[in-house]
Amino acid sequence: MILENFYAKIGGNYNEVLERLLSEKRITSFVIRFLDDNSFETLCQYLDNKDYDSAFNSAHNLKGLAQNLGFTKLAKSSEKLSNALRSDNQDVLMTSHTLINDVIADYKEVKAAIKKLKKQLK
Amino acid sequence: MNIAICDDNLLDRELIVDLLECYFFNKSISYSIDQYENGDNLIYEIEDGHPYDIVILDIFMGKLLGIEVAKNLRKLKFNGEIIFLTASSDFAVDSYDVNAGGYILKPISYNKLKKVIDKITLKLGTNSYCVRQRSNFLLIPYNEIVYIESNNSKCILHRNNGEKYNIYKKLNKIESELNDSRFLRSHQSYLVNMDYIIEAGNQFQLSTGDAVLIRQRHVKEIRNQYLKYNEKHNTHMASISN
Repeated sequence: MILENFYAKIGGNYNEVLERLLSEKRITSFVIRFLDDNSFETLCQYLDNKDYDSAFNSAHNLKGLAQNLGFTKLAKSSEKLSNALRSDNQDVLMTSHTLINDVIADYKEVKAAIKKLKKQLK
Repeated sequence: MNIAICDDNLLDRELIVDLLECYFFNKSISYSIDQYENGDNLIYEIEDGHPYDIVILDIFMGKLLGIEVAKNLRKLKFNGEIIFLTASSDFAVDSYDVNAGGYILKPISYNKLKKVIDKITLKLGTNSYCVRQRSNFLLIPYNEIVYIESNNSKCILHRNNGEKYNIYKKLNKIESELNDSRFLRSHQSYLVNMDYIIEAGNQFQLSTGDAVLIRQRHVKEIRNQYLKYNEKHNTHMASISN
């Protein structure tokens, strides 16, 4: 129930994740560990420094992880961002500075939900 | 079964390892899983002769792409299975001639992993040879046997992890017990697993660094047996030196 609520809160699909990863225990363990991953932090830093190649790496990592863990919204926003970051078109590349805002919002939502999840599991 | 997983994201890697451990949980296959953060370290290990049956590569790993790693591995005569983790089904990996053993589409799922590993274990066969170690019996999978040599009154089985086992039987007997086309009796005293041969000259050079003798009277025939086997089983020909 707790995990289902977590996914409902962040707009994710719990059943889809369960089908892929099979056990509630596994999902919970990796969801909690998501907070230790630094892709989001490095993404923000690289983008601030206009290091677009490195920012792309981080965004791509974040997207992959979000997809694996079923964080649907975060996966979509980081996908949009990584596509922009790998573009050769300068105008498209520059949109990354706007697209990052959705990623930040989605990440914060996931982070807050995970912190609540941890408390509930104690 | 020795598996390497190469992915630059720790959590992704550990998730796959966790799913693999779930897969092997109730199976009687012994296995090991090594993690690599980048292709360079994996390539160094394989260059050093570390045996892997399966290498799982993320297609995109920052600087060194999965494809490049795979190409390098094949150049090093790595004959194990290569599986790519990819986000796109129309990624034309086949055109790169790395002979991939399969693809796993992201996001990762237990069932996708199971499908691919099942196919490979079937291909590799779960044949094992029973060896007595003091008071224990050990099952050594055929694909881990590098070569067996006869030495005075006993035979020594060389395993791909460097371990050696004494077997108190005649090499003829062991050969008939194994009964598998990958083992070639290259010499009165040597039975070699042809999957480990990387060069065929007057001796067989093996990927582990060992060399195995060839019966001098029938060098050409024996080499040809190897060439036929290699053609049938691999896309990469060993070099023939004279």
